Amino acid sequence: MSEIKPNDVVADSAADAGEEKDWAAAKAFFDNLKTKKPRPPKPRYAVTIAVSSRTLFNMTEERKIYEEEGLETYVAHHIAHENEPLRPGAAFPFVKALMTVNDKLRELYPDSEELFDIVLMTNNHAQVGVRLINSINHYDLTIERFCMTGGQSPIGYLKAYMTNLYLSKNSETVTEAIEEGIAAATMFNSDTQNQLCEDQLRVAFDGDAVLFSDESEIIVKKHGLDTFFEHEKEYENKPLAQGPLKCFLEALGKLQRKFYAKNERMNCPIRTFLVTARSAASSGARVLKTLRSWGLEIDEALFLAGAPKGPLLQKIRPHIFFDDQMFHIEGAQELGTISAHVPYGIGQKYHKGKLIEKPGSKN
Amino acid sequence: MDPNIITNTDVVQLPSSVIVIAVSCHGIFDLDTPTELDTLSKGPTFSFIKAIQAMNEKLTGKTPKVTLFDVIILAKDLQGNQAKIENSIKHYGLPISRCWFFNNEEFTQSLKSTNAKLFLSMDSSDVCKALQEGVPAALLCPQTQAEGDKEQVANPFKVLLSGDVMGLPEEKLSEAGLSQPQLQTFKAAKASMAEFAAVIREMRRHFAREDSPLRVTLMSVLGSSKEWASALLTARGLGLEVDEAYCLAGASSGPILNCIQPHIMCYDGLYSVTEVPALS
Repeated sequence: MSEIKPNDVVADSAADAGEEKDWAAAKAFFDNLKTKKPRPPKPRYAVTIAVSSRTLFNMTEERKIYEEEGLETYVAHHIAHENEPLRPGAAFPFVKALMTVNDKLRELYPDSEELFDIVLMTNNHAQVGVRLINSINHYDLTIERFCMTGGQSPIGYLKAYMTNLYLSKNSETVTEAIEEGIAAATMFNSDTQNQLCEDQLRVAFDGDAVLFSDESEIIVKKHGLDTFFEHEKEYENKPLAQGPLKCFLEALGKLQRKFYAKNERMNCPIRTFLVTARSAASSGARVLKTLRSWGLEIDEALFLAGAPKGPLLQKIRPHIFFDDQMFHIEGAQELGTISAHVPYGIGQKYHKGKLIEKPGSKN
Repeated sequence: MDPNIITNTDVVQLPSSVIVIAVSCHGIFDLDTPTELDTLSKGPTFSFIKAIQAMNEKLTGKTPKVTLFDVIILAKDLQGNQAKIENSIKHYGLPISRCWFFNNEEFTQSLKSTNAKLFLSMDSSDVCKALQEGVPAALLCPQTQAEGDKEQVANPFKVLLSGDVMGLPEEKLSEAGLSQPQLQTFKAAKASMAEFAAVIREMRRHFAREDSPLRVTLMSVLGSSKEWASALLTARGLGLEVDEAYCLAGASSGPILNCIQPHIMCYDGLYSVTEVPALS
């Protein structure tokens, strides 16, 4: 069983036999298609990224039609404009970068199934499917797997596809996914966007409540910074508990090692960044030691000691930046970084260090 | 009058213009557990009949005198149980107008003489036989009984269509290494697809897009996104309103089927699940 997959995928011999048969038939079918498009990888071994239709494409206008005029008008609009490609959305550059990595992986390992697998996971109505496929083909994206649930929750399907990361515009679905143990984040459209690297996938993570649990975050919020520093020094050698995106970093690490194995470390097309408000001297050691205890590497660790993340991210130019606190997300977006909010932990109840009076979503 | 056709006098006999759906008795009632009682207990596909009843009632509420379909039961090799089955139908108040008893050898002949537009069974070999005879047929998926099973069916009734049958050209399939029986089933399913779609369309057209008690799902297991898009367009061409659509492109169908939880499923020979997953 691949270690890339989330832990609750249970091995079941009857199901496995079924899976093998489905897979063998699909493989034979694709191999005979005589198409230049690469065959989608076997889900069990792939790093599965599920994106919603609204994160892959910018559907703000269409969404407005749905909210103001109802489902019938919305669907009719899409059918009428079926041959017009949709505009790229927030997750579009990330998806393109995943494809670039896949191309390089296929060059080095032509028979491997350890690749990125991109699934379109949306509760959009099936009638919109044709326009989505036309748009996907227009931009030459490699997406072969679709899940259009027609209004129902996609959570069960995320598990069925053994999803490693789920990106959506809907923060409630994302929160539900995280509660079910699936790495997930809410994406937002931004007006400005920095020029991004075309040959390397760059992913930036916040530390607490993203890669790690929010245990330290709780101390800061409840007892203040000084207590936090003392606590971190005292527990320097005790690894932090894992956070919702740890497994995704792990999956990236597995793919990175495939490049290292072929002496491609210097040219590795995946680069990971830790961008944390922690300071290196007083609370940084615990973070690095935790990563080491997990056997995970991160390429660059940036300790900001409370300085704003926006300017630094502008220099890093990641294809995606994960953070649990909305004010960091907003700060990053103002300077053109594509950001994704991880609605996890105590940070959801605070805004800029102050407790939010009414409990509820801060959006 | 054929002694092997029992008419249920509790139910109004409908005119022949109404669509006939023939359902296999095996599964509606529990025929395996021996019982001294006059009536049989519910089987895994019992709730299907209730779902049809709920849909018919909902529709009659909206437009009186319109009945969606006439449900008849086919009972193979159950002549000894005639009385019990009759009693059970009346006991549970099922909207079944007639019950046909026959031997296994008479199966295809009996099926054809019912003029059924759709045959439903849990048994995939019976479904295959029906398809070979040109009768649209689909698999009935067993459901686990909910605690305190009420008359109301809360979940929408789901029909699963095969995106591969609708979108895949036959020539491509023989190259995919499928066995002869699989190919035959596929061809038969493809041949009766238009009629099958017509029955579903007839059911679906009475309900709006949102909050429909009937949901049409399209799933393609083998084909790539191109064939899936083709299936969506084919469905549209047949006048079918598809609510949910899935393209697996080789991903395992079992877990996805468990999420979809269809009540009836178009059998195209491509699924590796020989037993349809029950609702959990």
